[in-house]
Amino acid sequence: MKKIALFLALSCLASSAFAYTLNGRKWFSSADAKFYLNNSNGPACCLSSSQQSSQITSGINAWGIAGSGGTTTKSGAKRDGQNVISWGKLGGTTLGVTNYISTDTSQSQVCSGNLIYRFVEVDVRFNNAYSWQTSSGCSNGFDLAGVSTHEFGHAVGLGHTNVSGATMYPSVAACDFSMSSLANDDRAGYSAIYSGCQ
Amino acid sequence: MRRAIILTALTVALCASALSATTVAYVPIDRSIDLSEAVLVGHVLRMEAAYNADGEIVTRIDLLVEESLKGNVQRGEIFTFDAWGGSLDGVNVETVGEARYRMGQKVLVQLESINGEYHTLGLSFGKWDVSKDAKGKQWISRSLSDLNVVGVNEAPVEKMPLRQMREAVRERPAF
Repeated sequence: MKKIALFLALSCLASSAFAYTLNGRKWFSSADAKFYLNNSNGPACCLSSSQQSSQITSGINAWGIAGSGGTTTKSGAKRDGQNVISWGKLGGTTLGVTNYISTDTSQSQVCSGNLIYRFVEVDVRFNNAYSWQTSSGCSNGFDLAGVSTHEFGHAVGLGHTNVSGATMYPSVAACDFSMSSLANDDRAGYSAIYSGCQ
Repeated sequence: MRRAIILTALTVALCASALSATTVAYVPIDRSIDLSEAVLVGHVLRMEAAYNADGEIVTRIDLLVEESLKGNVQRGEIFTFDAWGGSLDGVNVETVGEARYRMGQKVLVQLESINGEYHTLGLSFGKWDVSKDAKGKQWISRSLSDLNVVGVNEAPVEKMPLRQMREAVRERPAF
């Protein structure tokens, strides 16, 4: 019992050097972590369809385990066998929503001392009524690549950090285009989930 | 043995991680009232998972309205709105950042219509818990910890007197 407690304490202290948090879930293989983009119903302003796709894809590719699987016609937060990224109405203030979809057959691993369950399916939806902009001439708009990188950080198993400037920091100003660059804290969090698992 | 149990408990508490987020744009109270089609105070009467018109799992929440600050809803009416996610037919959908409710809980909700269904404005951003302090004064408080809040230009309001919200609603122009 003492050994287990000591192991957990040391694991915790090791991760406390950083401020990242984990949401207790991970992908067990990169094949499961393919995300499929439904680009219909994309926003009319201010990015082209190809800009939307490339910025969302950059958000996916920021995290090693996740990858783009191509396009899909599926949409919504449903158990349909695909991790779907879609556009839709999310109201007046919500920019993007992440949905964790699971069944009763979840499996788990212990990684860096943390018990982590298997992701079954994750769907992400972005608000098509919002003003997604590029850094050039940005006015009160938001960075799709940055928000994507943040949302896919959740979609690979990360929670929030209190390290200001990290991608997983839960607050950013309008026209701030720094969120798409991972900080050391983000990388350490990712490593805690996907390295040293038993 | 006892020390080991205490150490384990402390470790688990220290390592406990927050749930993650959905991204919402921060809006000040006045603007959030403008964006809300209804602002209601009431008790959670019933919660039930269902499929919405798009075939997605939502949790239908019946609110027994005690006070209608904004919107065409009367005191004593049961008003139904949806929270994203829920468990149905062996599938669990967790919409990160969505507000959580308890049966009988007293809440203030700021509601907007999305595709013909009412939802709280910005998920947990638009759901406030109502509580009373020792002097009987009513407060509302919300948790933004599961949200990624962008466009923040002021310290986000997480707690205020219920009276202040009533006054803020009264002072907003009607549309």
